[in-house]
Amino acid sequence: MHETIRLRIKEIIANELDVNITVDKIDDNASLYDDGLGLDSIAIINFIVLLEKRFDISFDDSEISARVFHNIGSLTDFIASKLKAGSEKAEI
Amino acid sequence: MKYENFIRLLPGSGIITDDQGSITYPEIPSLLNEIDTYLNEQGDREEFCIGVQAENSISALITIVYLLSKNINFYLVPARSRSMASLPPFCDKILTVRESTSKNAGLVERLSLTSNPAYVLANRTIGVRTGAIIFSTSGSTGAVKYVYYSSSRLFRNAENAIRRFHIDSHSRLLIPVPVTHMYGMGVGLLPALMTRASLTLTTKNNLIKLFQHIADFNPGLTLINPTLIRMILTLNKKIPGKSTFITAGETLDLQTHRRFETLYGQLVNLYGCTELGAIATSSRPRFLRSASRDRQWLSPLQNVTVMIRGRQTGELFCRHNAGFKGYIDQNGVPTVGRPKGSWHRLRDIGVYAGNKRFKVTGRRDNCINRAGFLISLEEIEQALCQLLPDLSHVIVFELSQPFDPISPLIAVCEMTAGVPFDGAAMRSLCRSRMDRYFVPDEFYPIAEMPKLSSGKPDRLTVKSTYPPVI
Repeated sequence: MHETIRLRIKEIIANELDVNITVDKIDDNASLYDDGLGLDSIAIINFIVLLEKRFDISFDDSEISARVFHNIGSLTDFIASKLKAGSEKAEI
Repeated sequence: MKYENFIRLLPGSGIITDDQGSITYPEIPSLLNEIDTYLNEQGDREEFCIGVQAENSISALITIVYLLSKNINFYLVPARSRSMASLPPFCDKILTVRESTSKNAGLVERLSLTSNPAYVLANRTIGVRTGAIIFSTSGSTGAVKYVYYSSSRLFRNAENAIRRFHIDSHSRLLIPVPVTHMYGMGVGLLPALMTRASLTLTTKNNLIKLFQHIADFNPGLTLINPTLIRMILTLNKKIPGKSTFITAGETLDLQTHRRFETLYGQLVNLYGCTELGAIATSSRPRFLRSASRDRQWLSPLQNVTVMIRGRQTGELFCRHNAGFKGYIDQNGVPTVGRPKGSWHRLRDIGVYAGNKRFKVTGRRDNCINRAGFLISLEEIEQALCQLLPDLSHVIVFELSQPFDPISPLIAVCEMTAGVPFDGAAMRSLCRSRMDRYFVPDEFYPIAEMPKLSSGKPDRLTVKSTYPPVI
């Protein structure tokens, strides 16, 4: 599941944000902004909105954080745990 | 302000944070010595004016404190014009304060002092080491002007902000707006330093960092701007804590202002300009007795007087005890001085409400005459935004046509993402709900509204490229 999530996140960045990068060039450990992928302020907003839509999740205000959005790796782990928590709740 | 007095003020219990780390006030003197050592090592120290290129950071803060304390003339390079080609020739040196990806990078490792190849030695009247601080402003026209302050006036300007916002050593200020502009410097950075308040600096309108800092730092006062406000509203998330937010720059429409306040808390409108700093604010911070919480009626700060030339409505003028000293040209030669106690023309139109309160209705340059009425184009734009909530941005202008006595009013509209444009429907709604003099004759869509470096809509570009290319 992690790999699927990771790939989808990269596809969102490469195909739906206004950044000039391909999926295969996105480094999992690079910062999403600053000296990494360099997402600007508008791209960050669009990115968060797209993640919520594409994964059918909602970030709480405390989850819009540097810890979660540090890089692709941290974001993947977070979304995976959120999806897992959501499906466990649905089962109950 | 003398160096010794400024340094004596510095010890305090507040903490200063940026995106990478933090320091305390007692650590500042040793960091100032590091800069002193570094600059002395660079050789010839007889500089006329240092151009400072810096993002919001502790390193930038220390650099600014150092230059102020040594009375070195400096120019704050705006965040959006960081290329050598745009540096004015009056700067003989450029001091770049780099961001570092390494949290362990020392202060000196982030500094770089170079000569400005465009430097021109001209016949100036601003002397060396006179404590001149220079900002650039484009106003609402995009043409660059250089505004210079004396350090004493800059500190007095900050004192006005300290009084208005009741900033003291217990305050906690969050500053995501550039400290290289008069807003971030005069309302945020200097007031915090002068009172030894706790302070967090963050950069580049990054909402993730902003949310993180709000959660970690719990500010009592946060400086933002309409761009950040719209970004926060787009995300539609709750913000923790109970900060009072201050906004300055482009006037926010009432609907957006109310929506932000409903979701996030008090939003104070700050009216000012680079030339005079903070002039007036809407409702006072809630811990003061407030006569009115109307968001668009403004009360001048202490020691600031605003006059309307006209009985009720007219052009605004301001007399300020701590405004700029004058303008200089790109070679550093003063062009227009400002005698102490003189009135400064703000080039805005205002309405007087009594009890010293007033409202800004638009730029004087952006007023038109329709059937004998002087109408502000910005007032029309605000009315459109209230009536048409799917409008993201709108610019209204008068289209001059040869041999036609009546110039049509054109509205160029950027819609909210995903919302289709329907000019006929918009015009029909406006005609049914607005005074006919306010209703644009034609509506045009635009994919993205061009902006000035200040973030304000670029009217000249929109008007000159009409009709817009979709």
